[in-house]
Amino acid sequence: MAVFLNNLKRFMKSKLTLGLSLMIPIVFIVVAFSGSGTQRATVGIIDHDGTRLTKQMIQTIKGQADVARVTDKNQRDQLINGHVDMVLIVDKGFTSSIIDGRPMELKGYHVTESNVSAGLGAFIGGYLQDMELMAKQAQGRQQSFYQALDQYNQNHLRLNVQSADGQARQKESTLNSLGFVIYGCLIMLIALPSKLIVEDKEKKIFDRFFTTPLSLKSYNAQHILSYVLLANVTIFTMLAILAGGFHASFGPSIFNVYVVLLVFSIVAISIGVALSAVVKNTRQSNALTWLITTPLAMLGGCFWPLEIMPSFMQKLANFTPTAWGVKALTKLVYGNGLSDVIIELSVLSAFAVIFFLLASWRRTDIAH
Amino acid sequence: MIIEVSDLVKRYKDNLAIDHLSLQVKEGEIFGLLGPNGAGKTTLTNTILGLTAVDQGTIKIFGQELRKNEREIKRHVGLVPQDIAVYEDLSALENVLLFGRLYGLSRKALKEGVDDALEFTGLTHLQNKRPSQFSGGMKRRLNIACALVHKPKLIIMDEPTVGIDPQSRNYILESVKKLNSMGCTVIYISHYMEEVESICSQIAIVDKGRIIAKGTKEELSQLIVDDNVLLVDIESPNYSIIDTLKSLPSVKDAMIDDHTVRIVSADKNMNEALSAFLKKGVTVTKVSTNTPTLEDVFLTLTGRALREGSN
Repeated sequence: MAVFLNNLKRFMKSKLTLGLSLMIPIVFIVVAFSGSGTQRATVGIIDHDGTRLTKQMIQTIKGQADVARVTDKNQRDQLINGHVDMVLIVDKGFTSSIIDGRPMELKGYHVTESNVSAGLGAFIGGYLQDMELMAKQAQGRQQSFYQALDQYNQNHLRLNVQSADGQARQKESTLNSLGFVIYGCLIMLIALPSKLIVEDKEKKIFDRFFTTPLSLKSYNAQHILSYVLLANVTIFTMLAILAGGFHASFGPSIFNVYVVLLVFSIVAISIGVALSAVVKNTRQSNALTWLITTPLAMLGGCFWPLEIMPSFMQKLANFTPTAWGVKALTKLVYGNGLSDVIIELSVLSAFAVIFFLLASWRRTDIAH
Repeated sequence: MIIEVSDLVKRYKDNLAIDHLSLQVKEGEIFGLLGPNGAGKTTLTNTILGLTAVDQGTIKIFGQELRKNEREIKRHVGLVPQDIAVYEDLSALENVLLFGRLYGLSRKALKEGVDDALEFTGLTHLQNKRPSQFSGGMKRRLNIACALVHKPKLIIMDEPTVGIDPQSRNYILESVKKLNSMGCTVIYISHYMEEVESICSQIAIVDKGRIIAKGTKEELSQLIVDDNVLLVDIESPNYSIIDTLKSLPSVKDAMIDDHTVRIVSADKNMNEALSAFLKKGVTVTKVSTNTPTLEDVFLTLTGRALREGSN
């Protein structure tokens, strides 16, 4: 474990390494979380039905978003010009269809590239589900339905709905932040191994190591282990900040999120170690780190939902560890357990093994 | 034999770095390896250390085949690389400890090995200082200490005295002798002919990936004992005189270094060579003869000066 212990010493002695390993993800979290938390959607509503239910629904939406007046004629322009994030069209007969138990679809339009409206969409979906449930209970009787609706608007149920919406928004913010956390981890954990190993090479210490009984596999494994330890510190810090500072919503267990981030970190470290096997100097290493991390993060859905990308890009994303990390985290944040992300964790582990083998493949010559 | 290299071949694409080279090193020797830039010395040592795979041939160290017993063999071999391969931000003690751990030493052996290596290199009192605070000579000594911590039976020293002051160089040369007297076999690679002459019991001259001569200093000198070396100091450098001298039947080799022309001749009669200076109108200020040195042997065998560049 000489290389492992030595790396720990090098971390401790390098204030820059320690500082960056903590600061990069923290900065990313703050930027991501602060940005996503303050967004409020503007929704344009065209109500062709004009019933008590639809009016009540608009009032409820006003509690969640700014409501703008739009018409059938100008709704498209309003959307394109960004005056509204979303347009809702309530067709004639919408209310009676709900009460009769044959719910009509509420038409909703939003700009594809925008995810501002995602939380609002989730809220309206939940609200309509509640209406359908009440209609079912009322068994098609209009009077019973509106009585239930009045109660719904007055009593604690309303509070519950608002709480659910708060959670949806919090989940969305958490996911945004976790995307940036993954990006931060990716940069730090690819840059660090390649930096230290390339430094060993530049100082000829790398060649000297292999005049001892140390094998290349052991050298790489010890490097990975030391970075995993460092990654642990970073992940703990990040999760603590997200949970304590931003009240992030991690789904059933923060531990599950920690496990996924840890497995993802091992992949990132393995990529860094593999990278160090091919680069010749720190300049090359730095350049390649940025060249690899940003496209991986963009393609993997760290900055925006994977769903908004064209289908061929989504298919391509399956070949990136970032996409699998984001998928796993999304599932966890939306209430799934570790057993539901076994496939994602397995794919991430396979990525880690592949990159480790690539890094440790015994080249003909260690010395050049 | 502590090292037996047989019919070794190593190619880098079209470049034949090691050309069917065979070499034996006996236990207890200080074995000098001499060769000009690109001769194949570093490739040879890298193959012996298992850092470079060979295309053909076998390497046996301590009687065991390197390919099959690499890990075990490496436990008993130490390398002092030409570059100072230590961590500048770790203390001397931490650097030596690191290498001791890499050799898998037990706690007790590690402590003993570190103490001995630091004492041997005279760095005990500086063990908590970082190499960045060391002079060039001290760094070289730390480079050696890292290779001694596991008490190797065989130590390979690649240009261990490059770029240091005479005092540190003497210290290192004395250390090499002392190591050898303690039972360690040393392979000593250097461009400094006088170092090799003064400490090595056996010397091999490597050129173009082959051993072109091997023996004791005396045996190597015997190879050109029939040659006469004449040193002619001239008033101002004149390079055309070299071509004239080389064209003479009695002259085996001629070269110029600043104001001194060095002529190697098989003929004891140097009149023909000296007449050439008169004919070319070159003013001679001093003439002296020289007994053959390793440098002369090297020049005669390779046709190149040893210090044309470092390998």
